[in-house]
Amino acid sequence: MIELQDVTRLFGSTRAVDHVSFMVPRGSVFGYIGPNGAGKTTSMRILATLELPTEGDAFIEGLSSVNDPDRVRRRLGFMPDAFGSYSDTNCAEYLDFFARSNGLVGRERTRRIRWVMDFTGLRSMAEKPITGLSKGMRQRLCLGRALIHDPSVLILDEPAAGLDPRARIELRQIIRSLAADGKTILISSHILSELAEMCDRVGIIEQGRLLANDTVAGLKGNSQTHLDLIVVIDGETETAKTILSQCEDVSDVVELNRTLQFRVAGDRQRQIEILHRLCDARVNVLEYRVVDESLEDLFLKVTAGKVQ
Amino acid sequence: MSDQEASRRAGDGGDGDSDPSAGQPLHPVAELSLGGGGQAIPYPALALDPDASGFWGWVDRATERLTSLLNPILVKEARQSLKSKQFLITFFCLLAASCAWTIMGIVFNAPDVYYIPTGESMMIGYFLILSVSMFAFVPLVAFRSLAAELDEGTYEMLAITRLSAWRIVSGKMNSAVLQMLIYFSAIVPCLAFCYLLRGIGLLTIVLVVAIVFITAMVLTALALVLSTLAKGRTLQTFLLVGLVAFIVVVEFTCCGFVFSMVLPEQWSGTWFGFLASFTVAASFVVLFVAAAAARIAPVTENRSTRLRVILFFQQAIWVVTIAYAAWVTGDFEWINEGLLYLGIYWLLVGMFMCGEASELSPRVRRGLPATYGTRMLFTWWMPGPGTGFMFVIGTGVAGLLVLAGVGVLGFQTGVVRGTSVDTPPPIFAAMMIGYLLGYLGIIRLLSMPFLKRFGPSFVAPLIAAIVAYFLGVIVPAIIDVAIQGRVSFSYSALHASNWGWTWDEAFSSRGLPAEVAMLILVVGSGVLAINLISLFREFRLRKIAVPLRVKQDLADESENQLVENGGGR
Repeated sequence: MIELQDVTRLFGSTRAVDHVSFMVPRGSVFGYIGPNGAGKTTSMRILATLELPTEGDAFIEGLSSVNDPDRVRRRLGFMPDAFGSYSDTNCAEYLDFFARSNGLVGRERTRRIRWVMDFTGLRSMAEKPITGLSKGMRQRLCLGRALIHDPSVLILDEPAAGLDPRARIELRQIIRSLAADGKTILISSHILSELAEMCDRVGIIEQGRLLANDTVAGLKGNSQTHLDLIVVIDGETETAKTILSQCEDVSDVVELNRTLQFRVAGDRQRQIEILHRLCDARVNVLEYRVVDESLEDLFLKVTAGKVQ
Repeated sequence: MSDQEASRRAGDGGDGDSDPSAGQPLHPVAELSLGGGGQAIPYPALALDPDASGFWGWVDRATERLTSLLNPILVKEARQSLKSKQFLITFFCLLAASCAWTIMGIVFNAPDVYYIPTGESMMIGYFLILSVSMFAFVPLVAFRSLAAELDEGTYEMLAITRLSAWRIVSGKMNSAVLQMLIYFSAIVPCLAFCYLLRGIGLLTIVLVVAIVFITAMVLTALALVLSTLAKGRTLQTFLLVGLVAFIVVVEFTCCGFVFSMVLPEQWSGTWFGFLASFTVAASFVVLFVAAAAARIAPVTENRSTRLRVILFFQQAIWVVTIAYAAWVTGDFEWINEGLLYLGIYWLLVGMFMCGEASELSPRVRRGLPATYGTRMLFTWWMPGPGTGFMFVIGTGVAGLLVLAGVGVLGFQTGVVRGTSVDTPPPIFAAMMIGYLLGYLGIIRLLSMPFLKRFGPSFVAPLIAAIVAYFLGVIVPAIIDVAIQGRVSFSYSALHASNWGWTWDEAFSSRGLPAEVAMLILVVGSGVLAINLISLFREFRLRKIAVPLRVKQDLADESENQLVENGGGR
């Protein structure tokens, strides 16, 4: 379990994190999104015991990052966005070093190194120097390092950066599997479409303040004051356009190749009523659907103008 | 999940090559992977079965157990060093140089080498070869190693493992010592050859090697501290150049000392001097390593208390050394010199402590004494510029008084007597205490506004110290010129703020007048009083709210304790 309790972090007069609170239950994935400098990394560093909050407290598995950093670190795997490497070191030596640093000894250490190599697909790269790895392979190694001591909580800062499309899909599956295995995961990414698919909940942060914290579906529901609809018509579109123009709550009608896109300032019931009116006027409707809002749209909608 | 559970889970999987489950995933999730693995690819040597049978299996297990005891940083650095070109080139250059010197020595001394003891002249070359490789390369490698760790962000990955900052820095230090031992091992046959040539004693060889080792260790520890100061390439380069310049000075000083004192074997009867010097040097190694660890430790750690304990013990070593020297020689000049260096030491340390960060975790803050008085008196060991100031004043004044007390005791028992100087230790101690209170107090007052504006840094106290010491010298001269129209050349109470002249006067045959020492002490005490008032803000009672979760934890803990006690009965 991950929990931030009213955390504030000041750097001089700048509020990097401003009274942020959220909880990630065990076995779930929480997507943490926000523009650069929003306070994501600072919050993650507070959880990872690398920063002290000015106010509030952060908890990992019920242990305070402030009061009990040593015990927190044993339960935590942290993957920062920047990967630092060692010269004259190969992947196996790198993993062995971090296994030792996490207190693993003997057979346990060997098993964990083997498991991480299989898990991240680094077995074939084991003897290769880190400095010669591609960015994608480095990301794998960094994820492997975070997993080497089998932590129950993972904090991943931009884990998909630099991965090829195939590896991204696999990473998504792996994160879901890790969550199914009981691991609690806090993940930040700029690739919002991926977060939408893998996260149970999403938190949107801007200028240190948490603006939203909900499921993706919940966010869509909360933020929607209108519906964007598409209707594809077989035949001429004039009748349909006339009907739509007669509806007071319909706006922004755009036509493109017998497809009309428009906005309705109403709910699902209103959507059905408009379809009935089109059908009653014998308009040949081939397709009638709502334009689904992406996480990018939601992010822009939630962050726009709230904190400036 | 508990640690035991984590260990159990980690142990549920494959069991080596001989095990049918070898290479099998530990978790169901391992069935998925990022690709690129393949069961046909063998595991690397580091992930081979530690339970393999046979002789080599036994060797593997034994070495595995052995390396598990070592600092992981040492293991990593040793692996890196053995692969690095720099290390190999240095090692082979050292080997080649020692061979070349040996051959040259034999050729140039032939045929006298059979009759005349030439060990001492040969030792000069071996000392130079060993000292250059140890002084020049090992500290620079250590500097680069820790600076790179901080620059490239690998330190933060280490900071969240079980390794403490102390273990990380001491691992770097251990690795440097290992390199020194490897270089030393290359030259050992030459040293044995040198001894066989006669003209040099075994103890002298041991002493030379010990001097090289301890000096290299001090330089390496200093390099580690400097590497933590470097934020950015420019400052790093500047510090590196400064370190190289300092190493050159140390190399020449060390050469001069070894060639003029040690090799001619003029050190007979000064074993205590060497022992004391080595102890002081070793204490500086520990201090520098602790300072480097404190610099890089995460803010959640207490970064000051260990340093203060070391400083306290360093003072104790110094006081004992000086007291012993004064006792043995019967000369109280030792006491006065001891007082002088102790005062300068605390002025220097105090300057750094004035720029210390006062960041404490809420847990530590909740546990601090609650009133101004108790906080001021009992929290000196905790981080903070105010607590640091009080620690330096309290410990420094105590050390100076103890040393002066030793001098007084020596006089009373007749063991110690005055020779060339006429300032009794109590007067000298009063002067040094006055300077410590006064100058350190002024440095603190001058740097406080800047520290408040720009945050904790030792730059503001350093600049304040330079300004204060400069004004202390120049202001009396300006007053002289204003009153007399020229700079005075006779010392008076007006020149009390001129520390350099006052010390010179104290060591001269005239001695420092007691009134001047008392004047310095009174002024210093006044500055301390002003500081104590300004310290009020730092030591005032600040109630830290106890989070609900902590209250619950504490309640659970006490409940468990009650249950355990009940069960015990």
